[in-house]
Amino acid sequence: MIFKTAVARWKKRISTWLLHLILAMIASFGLFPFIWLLSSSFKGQQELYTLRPALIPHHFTLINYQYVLGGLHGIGKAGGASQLLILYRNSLFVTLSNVALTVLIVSLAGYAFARLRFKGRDLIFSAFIVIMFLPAAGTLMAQYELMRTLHLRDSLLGLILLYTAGGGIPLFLMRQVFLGIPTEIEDAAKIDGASDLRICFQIMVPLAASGMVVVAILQFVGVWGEYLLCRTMIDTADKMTLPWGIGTIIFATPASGVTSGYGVTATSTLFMVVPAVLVFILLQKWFIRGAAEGLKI
Amino acid sequence: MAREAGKATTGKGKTWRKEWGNLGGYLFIAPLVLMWLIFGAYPYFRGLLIALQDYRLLDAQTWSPFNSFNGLHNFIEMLGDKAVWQGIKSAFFLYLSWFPFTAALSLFTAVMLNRVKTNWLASVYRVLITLAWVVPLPAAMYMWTQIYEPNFGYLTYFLRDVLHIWRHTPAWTSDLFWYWPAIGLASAWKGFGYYMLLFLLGLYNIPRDLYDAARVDGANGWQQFRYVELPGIRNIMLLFLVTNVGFLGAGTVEMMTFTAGPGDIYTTLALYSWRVSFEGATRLGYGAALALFAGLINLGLVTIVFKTLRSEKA
Repeated sequence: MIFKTAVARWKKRISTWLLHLILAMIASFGLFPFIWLLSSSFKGQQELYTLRPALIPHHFTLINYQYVLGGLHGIGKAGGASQLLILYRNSLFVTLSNVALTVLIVSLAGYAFARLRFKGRDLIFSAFIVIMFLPAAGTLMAQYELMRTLHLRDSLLGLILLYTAGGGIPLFLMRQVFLGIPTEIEDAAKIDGASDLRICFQIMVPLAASGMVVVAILQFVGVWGEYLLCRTMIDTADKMTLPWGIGTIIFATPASGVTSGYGVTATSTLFMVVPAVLVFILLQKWFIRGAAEGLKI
Repeated sequence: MAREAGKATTGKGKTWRKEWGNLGGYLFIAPLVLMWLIFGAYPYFRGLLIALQDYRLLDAQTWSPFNSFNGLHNFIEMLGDKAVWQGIKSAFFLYLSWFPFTAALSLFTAVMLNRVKTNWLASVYRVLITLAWVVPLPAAMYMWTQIYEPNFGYLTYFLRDVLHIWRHTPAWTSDLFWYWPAIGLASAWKGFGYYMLLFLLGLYNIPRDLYDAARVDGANGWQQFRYVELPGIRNIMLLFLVTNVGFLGAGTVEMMTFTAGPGDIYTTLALYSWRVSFEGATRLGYGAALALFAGLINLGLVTIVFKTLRSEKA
């Protein structure tokens, strides 16, 4: 009897260790490219172009950072150099405006679709959902034409507006979240004479905060990394956002000399990755909670 | 949900209110609906029309549908276009190179992660594994092209000098065969964390007593997966399959940033459609027709998968 329980305990212990071993392996697969990127960004020319690349650089150097952030005198002028900062500013502007705009209008609409009764409500909502499943077709081409006609092509404002239009999934999520909030709270406020707008912002919004965080993260991640629309709409180097503009830095860097294309690529890519990663790590608890709510299907 | 709005407040306008409901609702949805109508729905339908035009960006004469309407001519041209067939083939290879691996890995990881009992450890794993999802796709592709660098990249070094299993490694991204595993692994790395999270959230939503019941019945790990977890995330699996079965529209951004194979020979249909529209002769009409074609095939695939899987449930 004692022997049996001992065996069972060991079996359990071994399977637990095995579980952690497997997960650690998968996690390191997920993590490796980040580590590689970080390590490459601190390496100079000699250490990047070697047949035996080390994970931890032997000679730490900030030369890639210097080039990417400020430009090196004599080399950087013509190339990318502080171009990265311009791209950064554009990306931040576009992404943050879009996140704010989307969260605002999607929360309003989600609340209305979940709680207010008006004619055609369910019809309009299903139109949103149906169009999500329609094949994409020539939308991008038509958006090009539309933006050209409105003189919004090659402008950051146009980009923000286009990004805000694809609100199908956020809307679905927000409606789901509002549906999950018990009606009693609202009814109590109604009896106290609060208006719909006040109910929405003072009572519902705080309760729906986790859902809004989910929408914000999804939108942030999506817009921060969006490439195709930006590439299609933006021609001017100073109006590009990071994903599209970074290619111009990468290919404009000097191939020889102190800095190298390889190191500059790594460093600028690192700069593009960091904000998204930070946002996710800081908000992931909220995100998991909110997403688990929205995904009850 | 059903809240008889306005019943208590209005006396005279009762029938009017009953018919239209709470008019404030329209104000609430107006911003979203307007944005969507102008920048989403309108371009969608305009795009369908562009596919029937000989629309060329460089020639303003062809912009109006009255001047350049050419019926189904774009679609007829497609039949004889070699790049279209090559594009379909490439899209299929791309799909094969990332999808099966991603699906298996994400499901496996989610099930494993769901068995971790220590809370803080579970969230550490979760964050580390999901991290790649938030990386912009172009950044992910740049990261991997560096790893795949044929002479100085880490992959070559790892196989040749650390594991000593492969002396003459190929030039990964510009090799006719190894291009596919290379882009597949990079895409899988980028995508599997997200799908893992999706499955994991599904697993979190399975009621605890189902597990307890299974344990009382003496179910082992595999049986728990087969009879509790797999049925529990059925809907999520359906969502996963339905949203990913449309392989034909994929590969544009991946291939723009990763390269489309040696000499661009692996250009997928979607990428070809973009290039036709916005590069060279800038034939927007033909590009839109190609995109519509890809979209319709995708829709067909989604419908088939959805119908078969849903009927299986009954």
